Amino acid sequence: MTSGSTLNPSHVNKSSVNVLKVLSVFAQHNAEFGVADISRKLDISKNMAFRALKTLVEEGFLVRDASGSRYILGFRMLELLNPDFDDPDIQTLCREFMQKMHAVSGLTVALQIPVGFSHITIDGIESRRGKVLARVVRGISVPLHVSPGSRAILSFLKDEEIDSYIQQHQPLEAYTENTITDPEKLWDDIKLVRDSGYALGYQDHFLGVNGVAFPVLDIEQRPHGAITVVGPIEVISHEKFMLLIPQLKKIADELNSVTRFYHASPIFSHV
Amino acid sequence: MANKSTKQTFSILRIICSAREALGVAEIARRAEVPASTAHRSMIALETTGYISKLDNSSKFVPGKMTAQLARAFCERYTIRAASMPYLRQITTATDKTTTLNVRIGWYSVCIAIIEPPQESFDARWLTERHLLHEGCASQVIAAHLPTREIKDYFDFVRSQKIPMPSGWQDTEFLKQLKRQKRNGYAKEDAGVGDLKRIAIPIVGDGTEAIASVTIEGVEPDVSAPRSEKLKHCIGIVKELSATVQENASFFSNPFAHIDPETVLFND
Repeated sequence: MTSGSTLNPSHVNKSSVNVLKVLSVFAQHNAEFGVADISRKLDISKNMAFRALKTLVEEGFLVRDASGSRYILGFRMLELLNPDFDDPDIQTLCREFMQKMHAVSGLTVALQIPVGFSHITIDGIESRRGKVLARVVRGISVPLHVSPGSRAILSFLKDEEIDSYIQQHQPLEAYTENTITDPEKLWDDIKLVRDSGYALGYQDHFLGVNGVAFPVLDIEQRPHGAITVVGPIEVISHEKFMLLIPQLKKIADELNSVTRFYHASPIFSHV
Repeated sequence: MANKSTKQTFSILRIICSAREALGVAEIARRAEVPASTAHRSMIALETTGYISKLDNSSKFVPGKMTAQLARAFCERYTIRAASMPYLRQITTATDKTTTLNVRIGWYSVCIAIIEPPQESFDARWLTERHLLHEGCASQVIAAHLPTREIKDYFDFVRSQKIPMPSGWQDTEFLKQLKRQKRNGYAKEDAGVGDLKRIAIPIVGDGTEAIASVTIEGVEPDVSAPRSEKLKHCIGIVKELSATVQENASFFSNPFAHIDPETVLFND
């Protein structure tokens, strides 16, 4: 585990920070950018963007693509992965994006991971407007058909795994009057989640809250987990919640362009 | 030209990323041959941007999440990586062994995907592990499908870099071995770690060139026996993948084919 710094940020080397920020823009799926793209993305001058890109090419961290007009990651990048150190865990990978979702919505954001036939919450940022509006309760096991977080995970399992889950848990337990307990209706919802890329809350876990969950996926579209954004109905109406979804989905898409680099653990192997 | 402080920052990043253990500021400054205050300034830049991070309850630093992310993003430039995942998983399920994918960069092959069996396994491979094209079966099956003139260029490169070939090997012996591997449709080796064995199968793309290789690694010899049913099954799976690649050859072309292989050199 890593923690806070002992370094004094007032002594930062600013030119290095600028060049490193330019390189970071390439840390996503199929990134290829020209000078103007970098200038726009980081809100820096084209001259500054060009100089940073030139430095990164000299260091071997970027190369020009076959057309010569854009830049892509270079082979020297391979030297940066050290097999003696562990990969970042899913919590570390998601944290920055959870903060963005919280900033956009002002609502409670939670990270859930699958454990056997349930999800558990392992991290969260609570909404505070004078008081906590929705608590993040870590470590509680919730079945995979209950709550948007669960259904976001369930929907990205293989069809035969979903069938197996439904068969083994018949009759599906109701947590509220809105919990989906009919397998056919659950399959309809799964198709909806797969098409839209998010699972809507129906107050199917708790009454009185609106929520949405975005799956966090790997390269094979297998779930690492889900990020749920939730708020009480007195604070955010269903209509206002729906207006937030496109912005939240954009952040979830950015996150998935990073988590796809890491394999999700097999879910049922230890069940 | 990059300014001096940025060059020092990258030099420090390389030191932290290649170290076998977490390092403190004083040790990093010593290895980079710069004053501690200079190392300190570079390390703040690296830490604030996620390239390094501090270990819990320690004043030592390790590579940060951004370095792992960038290296993995590089691997994803090869479209064969995403396409091969279901096939690699199929092989791992059938054999219960670790399966890896190697592609070519310059005169090297690099491991860009690893699928491990669900049970704990002993693996001697790691993501981004790279070898020259004569080193190891995963590289050799790619080399075996190169045109003769390119093999000659490769030998020239090896000689120019003063890279020693394995003892007793002459160019002609290596060529004979490559021909045998191409004829067999696979290459095998003892990994040199206990009873670990590897067998590599080429993914043949457009024409006759191998755009990548799939390697199966494990301690039991059942896959590496020449007449093994499991081996035939695995070769069949890779042939299916090759057929997919051949149908969309331009999509799967090497994204770094335009780079002069002589310029691809690693510091380690």
